[in-house]
Amino acid sequence: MAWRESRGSRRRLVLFLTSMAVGVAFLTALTSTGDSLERTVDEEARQLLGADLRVSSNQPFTQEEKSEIDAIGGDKVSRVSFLSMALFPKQARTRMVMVRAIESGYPLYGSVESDPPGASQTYLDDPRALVDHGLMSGLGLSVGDTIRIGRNALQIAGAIQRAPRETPIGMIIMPPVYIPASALDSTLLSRGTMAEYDIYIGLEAKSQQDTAVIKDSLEARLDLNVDTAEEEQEAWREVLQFFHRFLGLSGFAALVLGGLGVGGAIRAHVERCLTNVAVLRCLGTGSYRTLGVYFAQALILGCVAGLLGCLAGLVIQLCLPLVLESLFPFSVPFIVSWSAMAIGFGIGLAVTLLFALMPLRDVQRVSPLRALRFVVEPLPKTRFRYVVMIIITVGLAAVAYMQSGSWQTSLAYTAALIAVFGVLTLLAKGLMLSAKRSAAWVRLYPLRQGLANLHRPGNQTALMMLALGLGTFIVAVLLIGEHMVVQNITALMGDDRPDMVLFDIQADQIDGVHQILEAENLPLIESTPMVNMRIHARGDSTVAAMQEDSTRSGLWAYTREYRNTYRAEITNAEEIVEGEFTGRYDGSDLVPISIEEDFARNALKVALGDTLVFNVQGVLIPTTVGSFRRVDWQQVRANFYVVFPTGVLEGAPQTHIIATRDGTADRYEQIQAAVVAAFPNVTVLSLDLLLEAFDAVVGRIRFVISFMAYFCLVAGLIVLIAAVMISRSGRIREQALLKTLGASRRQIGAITVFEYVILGLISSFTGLILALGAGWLLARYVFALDYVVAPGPIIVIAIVVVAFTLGVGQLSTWRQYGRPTLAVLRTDI
Amino acid sequence: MNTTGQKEVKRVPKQKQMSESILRVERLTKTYRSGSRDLTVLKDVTFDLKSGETCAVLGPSGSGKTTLLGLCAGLDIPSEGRVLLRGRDLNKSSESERTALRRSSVGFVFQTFRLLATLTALENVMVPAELSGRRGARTQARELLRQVGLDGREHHYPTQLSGGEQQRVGLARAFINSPDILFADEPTGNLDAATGDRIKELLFELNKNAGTALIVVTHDLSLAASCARALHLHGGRIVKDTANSAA
Repeated sequence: MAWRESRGSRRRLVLFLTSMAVGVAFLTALTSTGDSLERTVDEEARQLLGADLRVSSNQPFTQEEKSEIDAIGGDKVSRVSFLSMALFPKQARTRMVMVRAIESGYPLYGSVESDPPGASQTYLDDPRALVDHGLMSGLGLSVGDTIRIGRNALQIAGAIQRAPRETPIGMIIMPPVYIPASALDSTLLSRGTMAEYDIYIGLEAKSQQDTAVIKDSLEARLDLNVDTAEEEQEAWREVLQFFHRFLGLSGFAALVLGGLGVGGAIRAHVERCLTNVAVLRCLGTGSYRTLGVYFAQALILGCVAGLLGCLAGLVIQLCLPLVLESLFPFSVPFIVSWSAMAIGFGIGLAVTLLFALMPLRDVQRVSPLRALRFVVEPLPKTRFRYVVMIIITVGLAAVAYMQSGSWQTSLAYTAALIAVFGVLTLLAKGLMLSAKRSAAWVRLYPLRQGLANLHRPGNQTALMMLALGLGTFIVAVLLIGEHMVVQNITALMGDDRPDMVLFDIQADQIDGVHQILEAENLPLIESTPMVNMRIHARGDSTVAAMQEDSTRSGLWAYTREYRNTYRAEITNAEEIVEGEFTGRYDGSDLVPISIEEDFARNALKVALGDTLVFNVQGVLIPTTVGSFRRVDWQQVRANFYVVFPTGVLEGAPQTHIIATRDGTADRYEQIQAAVVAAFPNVTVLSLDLLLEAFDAVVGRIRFVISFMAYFCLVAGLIVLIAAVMISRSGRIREQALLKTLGASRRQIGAITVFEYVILGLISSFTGLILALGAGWLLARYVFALDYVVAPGPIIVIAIVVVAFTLGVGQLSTWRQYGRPTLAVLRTDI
Repeated sequence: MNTTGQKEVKRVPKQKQMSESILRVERLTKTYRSGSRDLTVLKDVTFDLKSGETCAVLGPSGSGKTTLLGLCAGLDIPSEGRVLLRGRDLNKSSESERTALRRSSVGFVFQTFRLLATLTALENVMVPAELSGRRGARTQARELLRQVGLDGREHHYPTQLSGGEQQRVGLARAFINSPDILFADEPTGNLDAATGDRIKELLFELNKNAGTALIVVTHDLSLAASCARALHLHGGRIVKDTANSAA
């Protein structure tokens, strides 16, 4: 009976069913891909690190450290990484690159994938260089071209496609160049140069517990950073979990939208069939049996949606690697996860039934009297709808739990969705009510009719607004967020702010660099000395003693290496918030230093007057905390945690950072080339180049986010089309009536245009308001940026949404005007 | 001056003469295609209606009453024959010309009321006048609602009105443009007897005041008896055309 009863409504129901299937498909694909990725990370833990252990330091390993590391046994290979300028003579181009000087045998596990494939096997012996594939294509480099790093020139053997510990995003920001350690210009690694020295250790026979013990032992005795393959694996698991949660939220939103769509379809279907239900009741069918008929229909719908979703999910799963491989350093295999399919099917069915609850309840409440009376009062609203809302909320939280495996996440998901959907619905209803009230004052009839049509019975206006509003919200948040970040970074290039920074300048190179800048008419905005040092003690307690105290944790601020500066006054990026800044050391016992306030309070946990003893290249300098500074870290200049007064560190080994401003960015390569030619160890950083890299990174992330957002949009689009189609017959009958009463084609067209333009405007307005609010929250609490909104994209979004809504609306009644109205009028509503 | 941009239909003075033919139906035939066969619902129907004349169309279900009404109002095109409404051959008029003619000269009353659910009673009544771009529609609609006994209920939506009240709104709407001819399709068909009687009275009262010609399709013999003339349809043909001297 359920099947026979659905006759005539199946086509409409199928449209809504598709929206649900989109949500299920997305979740199934996401879960399957997540399973595949986790399996990859589990299987390739060692390949991700390239070793079992990595010992790293920001200065060359001492003999003692080397001996301790040698004592561990196993295979070892060294790598040194540092930023440097690379010159490409043939192309006459320079670029800042991440040079990795590598010993033979690296990586111990996994491999460096290159193009041509053999290049990664031979470049260490020849010796030649491997260059990041993005840089190769960006600068038009070919195999056989020359790269010059420092004083040494090497032939390019090939392009790096993929390598352990090289993320696609990292490769965009700092393109890696692999060179043999033997070909490294040692002058580039002079004292003070920021470099990372790694030793990779392969312990084929050791267990995870063994590597953990070795890590603890090395870290305790040598004050070195040690990473294990398990930690690398765990770090990637966390990244995957983050992605899964983030993407899952998009999929969940699509699913809920689909659920609302199915709920709307079942409601419309049930409303259409209420008289049939009354007839069945008159013929003696019990209310529960009648309910059973429609419940069975919802069950079939849910099953079909689940099945379709699972099948579509497989197709999406095939596409997901194309998206995700631009973010992860490993391949995303296609593995069919039957558990994911089962979960997807179950979720599709469960969400369908959840959203069908409310309309199905109406079936049970229909009075048989409806079959006898033409005019029937609508069913009164009961408290049951609140019960249904609670059931739906709990159900959604349960579905979210099945996805995330965490109650905290699932509750956050559900709360976020309820907030977005709730605010969208409230805003839309508020605007609709305002539109209804304002209609009385509207003199233009088509506009008034268009406004009134938003309240047409069975029009699904709220559902359409929700679908459109959500789509607008998602797209607008993406655009607002991206624009805000770009604007904040661009603002850093203000009129008088530095846009070029030269660092790793040795003391004897300063004059030479100044001369180059003068020759290019570039101002010397700032020249900052930088001295490497470590904290030796706090008060009477040495850092070594603190490390031995097993009850103390969070000592990283005491064990890290510092690069501090000295100067006579604070910069315009700084503000003294407590204490007094001393610009000149007067020779008293303790040197008064200034510390950045957050770092002082939260990391070092020191107060004004506390004593810190710094070790500067073996010389101990006792200091006292004289002041706390607030630092605007967003300014492009050298900012420091600790600032010494002048008169203390001038004689210490130091490097310099020089900030200048070109303003046009046109001469960047020219200046860079001049500096690199004279001083190969000096690195020139351009804000333009950073912005370029940032754009590329944002592009990749946007691609992934957009891919997910489009699923919500597709689900919303289907819901919109289905909602328009479901109310099509009512609209056609209304148009037929107006035509009978003498409405011209132009008048009917105007009414339709006004109706959909108003619908589009209210929906886009609703979505935009919410997006602007979300943008503000993102700016304030996530990115900590100035909230900047560009009106252009917002207006474009509103226009597109209105045009799209209008298009869908017009298509639904296209060519209806020319058809005879008699047949339409003979059909009872 | 036409301010609505619509095709202006020349209006006749409202001082209508009974001798003037408002509707002329000549050898009207309508055939529908039903599956693989043709179904003729009207065959060779001819009659004439003068201004102000009232005429009932009677007949069993499926005899072609509503089809005849639709063809006379230009809602559909006949397979053969022609309809002259206010002297204009509807066959030779375009869709928009027929619509403009209906706007200026025709009123409708439906069995199922056909009110726009999204508009109030007052706004429903105003619709034909607003479609014509006429001024003073609100005042006139209020007056008509008063005449049908719905003053005070102008701002109620159709769902807030009873069946009889909805049909009264339908009547007021039908007369707002002072049509030359009114087509009523079983106007009491969905109402109880008492309400139906009241609607019948209102229909003829408004009709008399406006001097409108009336064609009413009905099964209600008492309603038919109120008309000056009755056309009896059977099998798509007029089998009897009787005058009612009592009306």
